Amino acid sequence: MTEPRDTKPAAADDRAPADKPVPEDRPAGRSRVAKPGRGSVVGESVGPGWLGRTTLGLRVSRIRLTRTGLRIVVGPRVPWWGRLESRVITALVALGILCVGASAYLVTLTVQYFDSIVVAAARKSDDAVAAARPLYDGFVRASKQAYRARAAAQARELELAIARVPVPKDRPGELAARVSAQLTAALQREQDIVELRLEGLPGGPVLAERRALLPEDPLQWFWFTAGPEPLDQAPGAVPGGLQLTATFAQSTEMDRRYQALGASKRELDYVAVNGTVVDRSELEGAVFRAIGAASALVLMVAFIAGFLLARATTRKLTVLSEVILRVAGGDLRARVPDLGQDELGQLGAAFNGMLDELDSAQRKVSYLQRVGAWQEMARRIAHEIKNPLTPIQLAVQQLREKDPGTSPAFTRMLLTSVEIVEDEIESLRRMVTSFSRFAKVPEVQLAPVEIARVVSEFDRAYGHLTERETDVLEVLPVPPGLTILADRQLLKQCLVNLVENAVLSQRERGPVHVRVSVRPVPPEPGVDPDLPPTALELRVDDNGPGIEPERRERVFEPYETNRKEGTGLGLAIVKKVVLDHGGEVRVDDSELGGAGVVIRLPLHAPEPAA
Amino acid sequence: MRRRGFFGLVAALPLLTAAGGLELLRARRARFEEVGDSVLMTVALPELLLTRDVDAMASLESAFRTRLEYEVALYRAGQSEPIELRRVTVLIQWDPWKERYVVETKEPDRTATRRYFVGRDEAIAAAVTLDRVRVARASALERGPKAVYFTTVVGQRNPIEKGLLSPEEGDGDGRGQGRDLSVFSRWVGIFIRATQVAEKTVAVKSTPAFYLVPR
Repeated sequence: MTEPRDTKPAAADDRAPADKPVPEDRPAGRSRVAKPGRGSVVGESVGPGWLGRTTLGLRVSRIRLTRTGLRIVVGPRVPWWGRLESRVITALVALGILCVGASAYLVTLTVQYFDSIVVAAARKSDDAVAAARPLYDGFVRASKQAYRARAAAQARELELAIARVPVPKDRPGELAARVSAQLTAALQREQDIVELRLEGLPGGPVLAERRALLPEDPLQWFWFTAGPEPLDQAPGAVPGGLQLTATFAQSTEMDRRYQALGASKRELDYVAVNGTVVDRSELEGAVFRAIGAASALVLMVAFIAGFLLARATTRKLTVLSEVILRVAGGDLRARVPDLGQDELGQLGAAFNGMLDELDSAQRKVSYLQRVGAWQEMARRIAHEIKNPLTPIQLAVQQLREKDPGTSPAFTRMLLTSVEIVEDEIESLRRMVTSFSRFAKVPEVQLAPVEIARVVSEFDRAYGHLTERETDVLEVLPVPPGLTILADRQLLKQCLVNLVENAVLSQRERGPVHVRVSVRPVPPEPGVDPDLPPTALELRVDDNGPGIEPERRERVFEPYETNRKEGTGLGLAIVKKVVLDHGGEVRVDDSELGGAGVVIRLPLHAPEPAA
Repeated sequence: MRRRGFFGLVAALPLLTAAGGLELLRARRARFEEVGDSVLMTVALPELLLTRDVDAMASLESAFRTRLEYEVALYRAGQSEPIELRRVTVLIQWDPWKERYVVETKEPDRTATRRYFVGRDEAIAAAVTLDRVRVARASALERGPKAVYFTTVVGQRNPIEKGLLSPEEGDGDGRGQGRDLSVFSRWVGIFIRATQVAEKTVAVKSTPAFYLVPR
């Protein structure tokens, strides 16, 4: 039975040997102790103070005492920049800056690279527009020359028509009609002529037109007027007298395309971003700023995540380190708190398990040392008492035999005294016998044995509890196959001691009921239930008065008993034997109403055959 | 027949403009007239199309149309919100067919006017001058020396029209990479500073201010 740790605050002190190494350069007895609320103070020496009980002989100057409230903790004196947490965070941040910086630099290079491509493309577009300009000029010039040539051709045709059939001068109306017919015919032949106008005739200008069919419209046509072209070769013409003017309809398509080319050239340097028109250089700057801001955000997130991650990891290491230092300082009660399920959590749990084992082993050693001391004392006492008992008894017998019988009163007094002395001698002899038996508990001789055999032999040898029919010894069937390494005789002796204890504690109160049972220990929670058991429990329950919880650890101490005639050695012998078997013994409540003594022994797993 | 009513001109008055940004505008002498129910303004912004601007002149002489956008805002002294806001568009273009410059002026509520010039400088002078453009209805303004008004004119040469630009990438179906591009575009848009979206921008503030003489 494990005693609650808070019920023995000085256990660690008790366990720590007094002769542990003390730093030579630290005079014993000088110790600077932190006062509450004073912050941290450096432990200066290892006198009788707490740190002086270190079992590893640590240089206490490397240990810092910090009083937090009323609790003293020990931590390494490491500057903040030397801590693992700081280093991990710094490494993470440096890595983050490196990665984000490299990414940002690459993105910047990419943007600049593509921008240079766009600039080159824009330059080529400019060149294309520049190349288009003379083409457009040439087109306009050629078109105008063509229109003028066509107007001249119309004039020549008109001259020819007038010259082919001369018209008398006294009939100008006939000439005008002929000219009008010629102009109308020309208008019908040439689909893009809007108007042909001949001026200089006596009756006024002659006109052929179709303005309504080819209206001037920015989306379709614009008019170009060629002329006036003189008709100097006409018969009877006065130089400069007749003039032909031709108006042509030119499609605006080419002009519109040319204007669109100009608009495209202007807009090459602009883009629409998110509904906003922006020039390319500003856009490039905005991209850089956006990437910078995004990088900063990523870096900040990485920093926070790294900080939290590093802190979560390094805090566990810090806790582990603190606990290890406390243990190194002699505080074997220190335990690692639950650190989770990761490797560090498992390390903490394993460390706690190791400390538990160490604690248990230390308590066992301490107990066995105490029992050994008691055994030695019992042996000496038995020796010193046993030797004079026989002479005393012989002397008393001689006194009784040498009574002259002269005085009945004297004889009566003598007999009474001799009887008393002999009773006390017998009492002392019994006590000496107990002492001797306790002092001579043999060393265990371990051998594989089935617990069923031990219990069976005990049952056969013990038979019944008492001569009373109402007293019951109940031995439950033992599960087969439970083999332990044990000393069969000593284990049976333990059962006898426990059963006798139970009988003695209940006999005067009423019927005695003692139950002996064995069961394999079920696996602990979290352990695979299919694994075979590793230990068994041998229980001896009774219906006696039971043992108070506060006495349950103490009853195993030698000479600890409540009975007048008891020696308090039976349970001590049981515990010593059980500890020699590598087991544990504790006192529980019993289903029968009294106490239940539980012996836990490890099962023996035979070595596989080679 | 329009009746020229009043020519209101007031000597320089301190302008108590609430908008601090207005103080950054260049002062420009302007002339205001009250004709009928209209207040007309004449002001010139020659910086908008300088004859020494090689690129602008090359563009003009290449027969590319040059567009001048004027935004005329009328303020009352001491107030930051404009009373009237009008836009005037002037197009100037060399016509290689007829070998003349065409200056076309478009005002809201007015018929577009077209003027022709043989000389380039005359055409430019006509284009950069807002000649008697209507800035407000006289009946909408308060009369008297206590109601002082001034105008700001922001002129832009060849402003970029958003609708003519290529559509933005990432405006597709809003999924996958298109959505990411759209998000990135919005993110970049946050960091775009105010930028000129024209080949040249000139902003002036009329001086002196004016008031309408009480009748």
